[in-house]
Amino acid sequence: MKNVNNNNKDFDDLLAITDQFKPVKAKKSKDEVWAELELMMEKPIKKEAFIRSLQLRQWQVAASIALLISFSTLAVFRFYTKSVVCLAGNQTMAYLPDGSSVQLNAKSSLSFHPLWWKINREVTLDGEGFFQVKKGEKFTVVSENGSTSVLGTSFNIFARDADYEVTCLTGKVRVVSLVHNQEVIITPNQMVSLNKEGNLNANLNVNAKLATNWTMGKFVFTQKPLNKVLAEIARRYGVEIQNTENLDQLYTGNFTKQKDIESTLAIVCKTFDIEYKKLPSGAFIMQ
Amino acid sequence: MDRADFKLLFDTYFDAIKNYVFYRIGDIDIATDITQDVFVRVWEKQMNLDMNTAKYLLYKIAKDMLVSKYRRLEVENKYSSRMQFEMTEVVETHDLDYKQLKLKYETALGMLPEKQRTVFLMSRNEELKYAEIAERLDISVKTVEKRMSAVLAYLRKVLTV
Repeated sequence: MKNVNNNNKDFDDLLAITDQFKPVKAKKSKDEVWAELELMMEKPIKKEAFIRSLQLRQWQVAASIALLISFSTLAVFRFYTKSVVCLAGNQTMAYLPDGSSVQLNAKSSLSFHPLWWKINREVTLDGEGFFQVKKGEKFTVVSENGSTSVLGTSFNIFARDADYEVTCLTGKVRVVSLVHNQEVIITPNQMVSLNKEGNLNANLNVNAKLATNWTMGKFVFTQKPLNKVLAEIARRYGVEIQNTENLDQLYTGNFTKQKDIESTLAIVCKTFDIEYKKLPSGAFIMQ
Repeated sequence: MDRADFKLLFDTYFDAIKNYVFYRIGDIDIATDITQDVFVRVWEKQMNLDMNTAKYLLYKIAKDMLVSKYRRLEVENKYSSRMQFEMTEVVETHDLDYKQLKLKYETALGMLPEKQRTVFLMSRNEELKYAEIAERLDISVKTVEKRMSAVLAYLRKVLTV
């Protein structure tokens, strides 16, 4: 017991002595450090640039890959495009994913994004088509000079070169001019067309059935310049008709498509006393 | 933060921070450099430290800086494992071999875990109360007590042989 006490006393003494031990002096004194800090304070405070290591961590790599995959999948869904092309001399039916149908006239093409269809019903049309749209979200037809949107109706679009004509058969159709950003809403038996200046012209009393008569193999022309009439005939028969640029007489007529083009040309040309000749290539030339 | 505030902060806490770093790594020159860096950072970041919270934050910055610097030093194997002290006003009449005691003491401290050593030296050398140490190191008073008694037990074993 005495031993332990001694031990305790010794230890307390030793500890008391160690209190005399102080940290050795640093090479740099407190005043020297302050002098350096004063120098530092003279300099303008530098804005620390944010430096990021280029070495990606594992999870960053994984995240990048996952992101890349999801984006490319999304891109596939968004931009995968299906096209239906109807050659001159033919007529084709195109069916859209929701059961809507489009009858395409000769020399027309239609494209759409089938995988994106649920999110956006949008098709691109070049040429002429008769649309029968199933009811649903907004359905948009985009052409070079105009766009037409509907909810669920039937309507005919004629979009060739500068021409853009929309005729409504049922429901409501909204037509937007992409030239001047105007819009017109038409209802059954109304028609809207784009004039030369790119403005929308509405014709509020037409027989809309006539606009779709082409689907039954008929030709319907109302006050049409002859060159456009001949261009339509050329497309429907899939032949070439030359030298039509100056024929701007207006033609009105309504007749069934004949078996051969010569009978059709005869019907139209007789009205204006115009001669035509068949070339060895199969093309026709107006005189 | 203006220069007067900064000077006051420096004068008040430079030694305490420097010693704290020294207690942890045992090299007074590196400790001085690190402490200087702590104050450089406070100035450059223009931290708005009021004197009440400054203490805790300075220890925190020093701790963080120590972690990044100490890691590098360990790799370079520059730090010494022995604490270096010097004697002040030793009583001449005592018949103990001070040099030998100092060496034993320094070696023993070097053997101690860093955390225990830091608490012990803050208590003995800075004469800080346990509650004060706990506040500065952001630990509980209980932890300080535990570390103190562990160090005392170890020193008793080593020094009284």
